[in-house]
Amino acid sequence: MSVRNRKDTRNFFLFSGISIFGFLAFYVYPIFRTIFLSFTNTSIMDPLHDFVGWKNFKRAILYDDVFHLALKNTFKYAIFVAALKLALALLAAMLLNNKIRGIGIFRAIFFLPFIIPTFAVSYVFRFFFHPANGLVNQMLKKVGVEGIGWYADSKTAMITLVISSLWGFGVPMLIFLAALQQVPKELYEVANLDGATRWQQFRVITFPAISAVFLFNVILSTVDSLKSFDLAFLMGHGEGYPANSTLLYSVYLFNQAFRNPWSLGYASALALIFFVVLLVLTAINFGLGRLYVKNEN
Amino acid sequence: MIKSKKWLAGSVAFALIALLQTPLANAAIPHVSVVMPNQWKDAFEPKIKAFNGSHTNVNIDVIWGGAQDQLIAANKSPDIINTGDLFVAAQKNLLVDLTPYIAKDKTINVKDFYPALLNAVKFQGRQLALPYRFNVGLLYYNKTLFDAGKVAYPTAKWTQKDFIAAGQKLTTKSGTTPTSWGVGSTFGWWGEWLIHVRQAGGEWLSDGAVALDSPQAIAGLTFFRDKVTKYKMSPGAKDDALGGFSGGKTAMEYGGHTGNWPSYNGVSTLKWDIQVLPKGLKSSKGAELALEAWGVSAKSANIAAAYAAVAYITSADFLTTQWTALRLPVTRISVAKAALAVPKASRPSPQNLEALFGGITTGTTLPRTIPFIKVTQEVVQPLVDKMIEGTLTPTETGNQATAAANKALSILQ
Repeated sequence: MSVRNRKDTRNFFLFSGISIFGFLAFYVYPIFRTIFLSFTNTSIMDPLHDFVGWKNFKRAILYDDVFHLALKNTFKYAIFVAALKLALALLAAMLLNNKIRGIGIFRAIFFLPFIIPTFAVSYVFRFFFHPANGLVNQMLKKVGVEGIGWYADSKTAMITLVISSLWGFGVPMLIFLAALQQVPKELYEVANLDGATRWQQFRVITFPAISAVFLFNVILSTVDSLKSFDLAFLMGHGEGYPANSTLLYSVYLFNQAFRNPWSLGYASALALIFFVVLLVLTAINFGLGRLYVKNEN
Repeated sequence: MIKSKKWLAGSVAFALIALLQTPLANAAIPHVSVVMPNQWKDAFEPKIKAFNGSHTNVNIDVIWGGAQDQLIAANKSPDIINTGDLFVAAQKNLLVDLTPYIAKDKTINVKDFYPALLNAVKFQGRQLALPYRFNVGLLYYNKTLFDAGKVAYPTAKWTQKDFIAAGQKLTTKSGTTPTSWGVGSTFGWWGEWLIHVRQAGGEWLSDGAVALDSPQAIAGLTFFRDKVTKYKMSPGAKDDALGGFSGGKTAMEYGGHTGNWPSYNGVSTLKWDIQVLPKGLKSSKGAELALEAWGVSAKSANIAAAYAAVAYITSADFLTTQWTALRLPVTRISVAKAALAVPKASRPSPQNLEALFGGITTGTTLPRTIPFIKVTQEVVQPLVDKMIEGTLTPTETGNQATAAANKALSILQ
């Protein structure tokens, strides 16, 4: 090895060592540890544990009704949140793509909710949706409409959670905005000359041009909504209140690991099942993406 | 030569004295750690400091405001563990059996603990912890609202009829908007409905199986619902609870929790007291008795020292401070007697301490041998929520809860 090569190798390990260490310690080790734990009956509060084989996986897949409900709730939640968030983000990005006065302020306003802590957001929405004296039901009352139970009713709690989750569409909006700004303006000028409607322009020019970014946002939003935790935890009192109606997968998993009887082994099995679910859904998203993503070339 | 020898001897002696003052010398004293909430710091820190200053066999290091569960999960368990009657089953291998240490200890006076509380943290014949505070279900009432409504304060002889009559009289409305509730509602956990079930003669667990489908249990669930729907004296899940008992617009709270006393006493306008629960459908017994206790971690490097520290923080002296400074209900008979010796009129809220300490003998602990919290919160409680919404009848709730809970137990055991 030449002196130059040795120097390069040394520099490589010097500069990438920290991140490689971080990757191994905070990603690789936890993954292997989770796999190991999932085959044991480990509890945080019990120093003794045994290997239980596939028992945790069997229990989750075949017998645990609450887990099945949490899974169903999560899919329902993810479908609505991901779809609505994408629609809102795209709509907002298209509006903000116009050249109007003070557009920077509007962009900041739309992005601002993203940086507000979920804790504060949950309190604001609880105030909005309080069944007895919340802002929304008071306004409905003023126009002669009977208010609903919102988060206090198991029939409407999930809808309330979905609406509250739409708050933070700032990131996909920014990504859409960046993609929209890359679309050549000449295409729209030509389309206008040809008399194309707004919808036709969107269908034929805008969407194909941003389809790759759309797929990226679909995957990002789907994964993000599937692993949602904080808002559901706060609004459902950490237990999917009322009647398990807002019990999401992540909240259930957390409760298994960090609440009595602190079943870390079982929670690890749930985490791995979740990983497989995410993998399958991402693969489906990629498959569907082939139907609408247009190659730039 | 002699002079220099003297000088040398003096220097050595000085060095030895200095060494004794250093942390190295203190390191010989075993240090044991314990997590305590920040709210206790002002009350307990001087006591702990004094203890550390006068003991050479153990020093207590308090991690104020620490997170015990996270420390245990990170394999950095404190030497002393805060546990309770509902936790000892899951922590049976984490906690040291204190029985041999108690047997050797001539100063502990274990008979001074209320037997029911001591037994609640004994698991499979092993004394896994020593109790320091407890909660028992009681009737909490707002004196101001009772006076304003010209209703006599609750007595130990109250029946369910008296309770309903007072609750309805103290529920007031302005048009359709409630301005005060006769009785609060406890949603989201078993704190209230299980008392009604037990007072109606039912039980959560009977002969190792969940028995919420018994006629008695269903009667108890029915009363829990009827408070809202039939007697209209308690808020439903969608109603404005008016800030609950501490909001000052709720006349009574059924069951309650002694852990809420600091927040009640934090409201200067709230004049309140406690009474034993009214007689339910069948019995006046059935109040939940729960407790917290200090145990020793099996992972501690200084188990004997940790025991000595546990003995101190559950001693009559320490519990006296716990009671006088923090009003956390104490577990030793001698400290309770001293509290009861203060004339009723001179006591701060709550004044009826006879009801509190009397509740230890009439209260009932929760099942410890099964994952009670998990099954109740994940399986039973959602069905009770639906009953309150009106989606399920009490009979459907009892039947479905029993089937689902027994299924969950069969999987978990």
